Amino acid sequence: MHKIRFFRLALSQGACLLLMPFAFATITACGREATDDRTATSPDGDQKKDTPQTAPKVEKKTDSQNELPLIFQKDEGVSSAQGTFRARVKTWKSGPQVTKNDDTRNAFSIEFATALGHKPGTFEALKVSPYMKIHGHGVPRAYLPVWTTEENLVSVDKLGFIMSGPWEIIVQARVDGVEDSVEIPVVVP
Amino acid sequence: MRLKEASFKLTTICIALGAFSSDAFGCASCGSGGDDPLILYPNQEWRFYLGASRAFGFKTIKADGSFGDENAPTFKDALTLAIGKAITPFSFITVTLPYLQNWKNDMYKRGVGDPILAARWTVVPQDISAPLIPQLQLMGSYRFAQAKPQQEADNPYRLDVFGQGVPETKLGIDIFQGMTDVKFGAAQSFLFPGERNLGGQTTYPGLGARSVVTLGYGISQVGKILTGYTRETRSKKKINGLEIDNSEVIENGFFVTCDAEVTPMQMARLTWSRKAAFWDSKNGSRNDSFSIAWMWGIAP
Repeated sequence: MHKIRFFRLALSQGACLLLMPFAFATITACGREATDDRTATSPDGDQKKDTPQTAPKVEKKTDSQNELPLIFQKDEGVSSAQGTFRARVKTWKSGPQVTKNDDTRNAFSIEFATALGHKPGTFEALKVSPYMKIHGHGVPRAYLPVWTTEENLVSVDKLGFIMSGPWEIIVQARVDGVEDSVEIPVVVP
Repeated sequence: MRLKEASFKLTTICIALGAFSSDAFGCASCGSGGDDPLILYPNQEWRFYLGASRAFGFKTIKADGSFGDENAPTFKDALTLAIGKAITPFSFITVTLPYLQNWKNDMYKRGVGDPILAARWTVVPQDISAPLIPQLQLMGSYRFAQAKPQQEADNPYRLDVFGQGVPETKLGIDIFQGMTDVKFGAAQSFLFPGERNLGGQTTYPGLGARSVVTLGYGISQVGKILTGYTRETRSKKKINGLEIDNSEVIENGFFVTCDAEVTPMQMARLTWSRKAAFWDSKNGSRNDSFSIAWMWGIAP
């Protein structure tokens, strides 16, 4: 009787010893799956361990930049204060001229490009204001311009220059999500 | 008491000069003009100045010295009231208050300009015993920036601009030789402007220097005529703390002033001046102006 009991106990313990590696392997595998799930659903988007997922995104962005057309040649345009984009006056519809009345206001368009000269992915003009640094003044409020944005172009209208000389058109803009400002020189004869 | 005694002595000297010598014009010689509209005679306790002027023909002088176009008012009229008060026999203070009217064709706007508080101290007075020794005065003034500057203009023609925008202190010396019929004067002052935020930009107009040289001729108890050359220079402007290249200002001007003595205590003055007119003028505004003024003094 005692022999039978001992045999049963030894058999059950042996079975447990045999099953333990399988159980351990299963638990470890489940833990890995759980960790992977947390990385994928991280709300702050931190996917440092998930290289197979981020790598295609970076490559896609670079390709997207390169696909945008090159619109400024090297050294064309004026660089912004922090060097994030470049800008230049594209066309003058009216002016540059000293404004004596509403018929002699100035209208022109300003073109924007990335620092490397490509057409920006996103663009937004925030403020356009004329200033004459060498005299330390701008224009009266009644001569401040109105402007509209279309793609990477800003159309400036109704601007009044009050005197001849070197002026700066100061444009504050957001190019590809980065805010910066540029001073475009304009000489009014 | 001492002030009254000194004023009496000076008055006596002036009357004696006027009565006995055609060369004597000392008491009406003070100052060399061009800078201050009102300078007290030694025998005056109070002096008042009421002047009307019209400036016109505004043209921009560009950085290269050439003329440019400018959308400025057609006329800038000024009615200037100044009051002078003797502090000691050899020093006085003046308060100057301009009331301005800017015109563009038939539109106009009126407003008070920047008031100026000034003081003069006669270090070397004129002396009949040494008529060739010129008078030497130290001068100082402070211009308050209370009127609207062009950086904050609303009107498209800047008709609402009546001030400079920044306060300014002026310190200098004024030498004038007026005892003889032929008169000569020279004044040198230095301008120390303040810094202010104007139109969203911190603006500093730059240190300045102003020189005035005058030459004239006077006839006792009739009046005098003075011609003068003015030169005002300013160092580079600073906008938001950064020096601006090529922003130095040079203005050369010219003026002619005629004084007619109506009574010993009253005088009429007619002045023509041209500002930023010639030579190496740059970054200025050229204009002509005519002014007519009436001055009268009160003895102690």
